[in-house]
Amino acid sequence: MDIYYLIYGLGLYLVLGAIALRIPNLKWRAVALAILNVVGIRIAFRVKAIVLAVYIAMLVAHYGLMITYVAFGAWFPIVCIALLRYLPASVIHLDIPGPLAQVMIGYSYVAFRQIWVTMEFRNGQVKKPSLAEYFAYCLFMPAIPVGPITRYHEFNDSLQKPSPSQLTTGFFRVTLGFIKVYFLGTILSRLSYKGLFGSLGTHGWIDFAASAVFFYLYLYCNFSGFCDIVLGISQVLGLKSAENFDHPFRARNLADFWNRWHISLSVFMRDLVFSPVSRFLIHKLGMRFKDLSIVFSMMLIFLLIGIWHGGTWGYLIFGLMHGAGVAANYGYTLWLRKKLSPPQFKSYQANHAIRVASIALTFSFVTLSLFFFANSDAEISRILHSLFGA
Amino acid sequence: MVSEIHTPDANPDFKVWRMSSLVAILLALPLIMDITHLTDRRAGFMSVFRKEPSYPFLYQEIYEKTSDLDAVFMGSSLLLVGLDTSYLRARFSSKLGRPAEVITLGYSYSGLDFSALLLKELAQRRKVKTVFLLLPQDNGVDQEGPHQNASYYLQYRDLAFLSEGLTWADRLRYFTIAVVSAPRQLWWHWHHGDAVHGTKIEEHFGNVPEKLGIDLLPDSFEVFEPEPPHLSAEELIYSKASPSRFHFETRKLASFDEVMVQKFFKVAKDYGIKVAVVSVPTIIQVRQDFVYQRLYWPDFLAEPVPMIGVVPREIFKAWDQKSIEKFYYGDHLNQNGSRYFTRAIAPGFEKVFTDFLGRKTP
Repeated sequence: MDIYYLIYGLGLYLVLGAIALRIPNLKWRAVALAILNVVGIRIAFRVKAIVLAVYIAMLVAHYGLMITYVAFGAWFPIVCIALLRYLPASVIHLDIPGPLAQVMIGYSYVAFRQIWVTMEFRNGQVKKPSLAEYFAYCLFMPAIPVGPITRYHEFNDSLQKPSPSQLTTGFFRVTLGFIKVYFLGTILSRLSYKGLFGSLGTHGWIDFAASAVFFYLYLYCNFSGFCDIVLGISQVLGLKSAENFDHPFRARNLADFWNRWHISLSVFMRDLVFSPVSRFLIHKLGMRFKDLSIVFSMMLIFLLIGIWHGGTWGYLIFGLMHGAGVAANYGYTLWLRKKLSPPQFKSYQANHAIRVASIALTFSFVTLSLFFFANSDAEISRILHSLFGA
Repeated sequence: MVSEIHTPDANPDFKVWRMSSLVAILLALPLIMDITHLTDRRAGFMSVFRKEPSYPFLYQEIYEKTSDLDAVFMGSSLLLVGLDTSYLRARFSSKLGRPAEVITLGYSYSGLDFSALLLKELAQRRKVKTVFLLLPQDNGVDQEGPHQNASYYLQYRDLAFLSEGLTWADRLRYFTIAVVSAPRQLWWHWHHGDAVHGTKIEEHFGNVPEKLGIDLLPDSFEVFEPEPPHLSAEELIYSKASPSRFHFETRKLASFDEVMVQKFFKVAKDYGIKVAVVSVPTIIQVRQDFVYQRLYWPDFLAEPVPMIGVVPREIFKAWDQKSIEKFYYGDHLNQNGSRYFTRAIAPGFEKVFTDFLGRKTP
């Protein structure tokens, strides 16, 4: 992303968005925001017209499907993601090697929003959205690259009745986001895998440890920084966007980590995958297999998270590690609850030394798992080779 | 209040002063490192991306060796891989009647600012007699900003030299680079200060693929070593008597590039170094009837500057496209091409070299 276009696009979006959200009529307000989203994406992310046309066509097709055959509405975005991953960019006459997915900036996040709106409409939580409301939500421009994945009803409620603009707080948060992404993020990325292991000379375990920790910090600054920008803009406009981070470095186990890191994805996976799958399994297998059903559902959601990030062994291992970690934590908690009386368990939870050790262990586990997330399969092999020799 | 943002990640303990302090420290870090000598050139040059192995060689030549240099070839990768330095060294040695000290200081990406910095650093440490410089020569491709690898080698102490004459925006770019790269340089200074001593620098500066980086190794390489047609020095050096052999573009240089070219020549003047400009043909130029130069440099610099180049068609006309590809890796001359081109252009270099040293060509 070109920072100059991003700043220009977001600035324009803020000014015009503030005007659009003052339109008294909801219908026209949604239309204005929908148009602004499309124009903003074109400017801020320099998306080619043909790509934008594909985007719009996919959204219109999904909207049509959702309001006619709602049962299929949730599957359509998943099929689209799969197609985008495997169809070459040349199918829309783009002279770019690789799959279409790489030019469809943020489609995976748009797909999550498409699924949310479909499920909430199907469950009767919301009334049928108009096409403009649908576009205003699914294509909410600031959230295109990295989310957060706000629920439809939360966003739409704020569109219907925008909150008072929090100008100072919002601008401060946008500034904070830019500092995190473009200042701290840049510094930290130069100290992570590519910056250290990518350079000349020999590299050992100290470089590995530093790269791993700095990559974790870099990812946090980059990801949470972008979310700060989105949330700041939302605050200025008076729209609702979901919080995505809550001091993840303080997590004392992996389940806690996923309640603090990419929260909107965790909520999405919990509500739309984990709960229905585990309920279904328990219903089919009986309460005797409750824990097994829960563990299976946990593994499934983290496998999906791994695959969603990309089709490499690294992402798969990352997902499996987290699935196994969350499942192990679940088992350990069950075991502790059996072993300890409720007061003992409470005292265990409150113990400062255990808390510090848990946080350190969780931090180390996440840091290590991100090794598989940060590097391509070839880089993983190269780094392991340099650490362990031939 | 701004310091009391109600968000899970920013409240309750997020404090504006914490972030402000962190940013302030990071902004001041290059200066702090400079004052406390917490960084060094070795760390900067040795920490460059592993696919650019010419940097240790640059470091060794500039900061470790001390002998006088008879001729230095400087420029981007077109020159780095396009010249057979050992052949030129042998020719210059025979002219001098003693072993000539001839080296090529090349690097990836356009880098007029890097050339200027390298020359300054080199001239401060070694006596340099002549420099053959590759100036921007691709149509429409000007540099317009700091060298791509500036974040590796740039130090706070370089800012004054590099920023002089630039716009405030360009000065800010240099400062930003110094700031964002400082923590990494600090890490290298602490952690790799000794390790790089063991690097066998010259072993990593052999053939063309090594100079350019391992990923550019072709699937196969066929040795192809024909002799080029003989060209006289007069045919290789620009003169008003045969102006049609050279083509000069009239489009203005970007202001950044203007400053850097002038800076380079000022350093040369300050240290009494004679400079000639050289042109290296890319694969898209092989059918051209002229030597391409971005500007008529003597006018731009308001001083006489010898310009040396081969009219590409004159040396490549005997070859069909398939044979020509045996001289190139992509845009750049390969080992075959480097040998072929260097032998063709050598009389021009030799003449300018001897003229610079005040010796007559026999």
